[in-house]
Amino acid sequence: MATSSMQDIKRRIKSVTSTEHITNAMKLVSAGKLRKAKATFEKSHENIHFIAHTIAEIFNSSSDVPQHYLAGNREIKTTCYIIVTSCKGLCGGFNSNIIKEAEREILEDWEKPVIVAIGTKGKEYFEKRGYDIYSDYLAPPESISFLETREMSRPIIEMYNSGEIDEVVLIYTSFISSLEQEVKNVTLLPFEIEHDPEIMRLEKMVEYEPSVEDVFNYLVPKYVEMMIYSAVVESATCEHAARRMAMENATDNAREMLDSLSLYYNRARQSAITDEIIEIVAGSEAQK
Amino acid sequence: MSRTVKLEVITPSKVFFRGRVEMVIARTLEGDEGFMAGHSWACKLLDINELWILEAGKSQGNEDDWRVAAVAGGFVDVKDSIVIYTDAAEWSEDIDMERVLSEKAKAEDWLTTETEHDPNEIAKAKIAIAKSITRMNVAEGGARRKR
Repeated sequence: MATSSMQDIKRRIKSVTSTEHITNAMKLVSAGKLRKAKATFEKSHENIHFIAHTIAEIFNSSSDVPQHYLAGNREIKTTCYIIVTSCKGLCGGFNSNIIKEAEREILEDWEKPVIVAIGTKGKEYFEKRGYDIYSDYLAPPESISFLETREMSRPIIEMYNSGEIDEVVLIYTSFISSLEQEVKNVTLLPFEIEHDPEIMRLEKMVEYEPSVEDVFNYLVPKYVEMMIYSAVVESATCEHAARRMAMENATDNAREMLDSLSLYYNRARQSAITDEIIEIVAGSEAQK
Repeated sequence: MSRTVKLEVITPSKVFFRGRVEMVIARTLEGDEGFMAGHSWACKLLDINELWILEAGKSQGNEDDWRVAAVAGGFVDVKDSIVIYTDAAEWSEDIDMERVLSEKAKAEDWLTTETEHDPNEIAKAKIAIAKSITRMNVAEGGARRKR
């Protein structure tokens, strides 16, 4: 009895040790990837925010924005959700957090949503639940190029302009620190003009060339592209951070398990030895 | 010494140029336009063409003082400072001539050989050619200097 449980424990120790090796290796890999992704993210973050801010400032400061891009000029029926998830699992709550938030948003809506999935996890989830996926992007998000986001956002803008969709919501994970990420949802279109008292309303005339409409017809899609691109880059960074955390936890848990298993093992071994001694002693006593 | 203005040229991947300039000349959709300090506020779209930058304090009165870059469309936002956003920008010295020529040849080839063209694809090929021509001009110091 004692020997069989010792063997069992030994076998478990072996399997937990090999799992620990794997998770530890994965942790190191994702730490490396995180470093790389973070560098890209930080490099592009500043520019993109700067650009997005510039565009937002132009919107906010001008009274010439074409009406159909502004909030409140048409009833919001169909909403397009752009859901940024990852393509691989094993990253803790990363995907489920996004999906939970997205589903909550979608269920609040009566109308049938249009879903654009970036990353396989979100696509699989919503496909399984019978939602129509309008378009998807399934390659690993860290390698996305600006051109690809452009291809992706063009049909969305066209649909918005033709009235097929009335709202574009972007749901992604935003990077706060390596230990903390937050699910964010941003309404890209229609544009909510906030009359921020800090941004002075410009009294000066602004020249638009070739025309106000042309300028905004260029800027609005650009803004959408920019936001999608930055969200994808940011989400890739978060994915690696989340995976690193998950793998670190897994490694810690495995080590903890190993500790308690080796304690059990030693106990089992000790009790086996004690049993044997008792048997020997009892045997020699009987000889007398 | 003329007045200077802060200029920022930004692409999605990097800040291409940041500094004070005396003048920047860009091709808007309506034609070349120079922007200097005190320009009236404007927001204009740019064509695929050359961008000429005269940095502050570099002006000697001849054409070599200007730096030339190829830009792939975008917009310019003129307020108290000038911000140019473009999808791609390259200084004349960074242009890889071989790549430009092969890209141009590819686009031209495609336009002349295939028969059924999707209008979107044709527009794309034309843009590719325009970009290549701009790059070639910029690599040689700009169309203006060549003349």
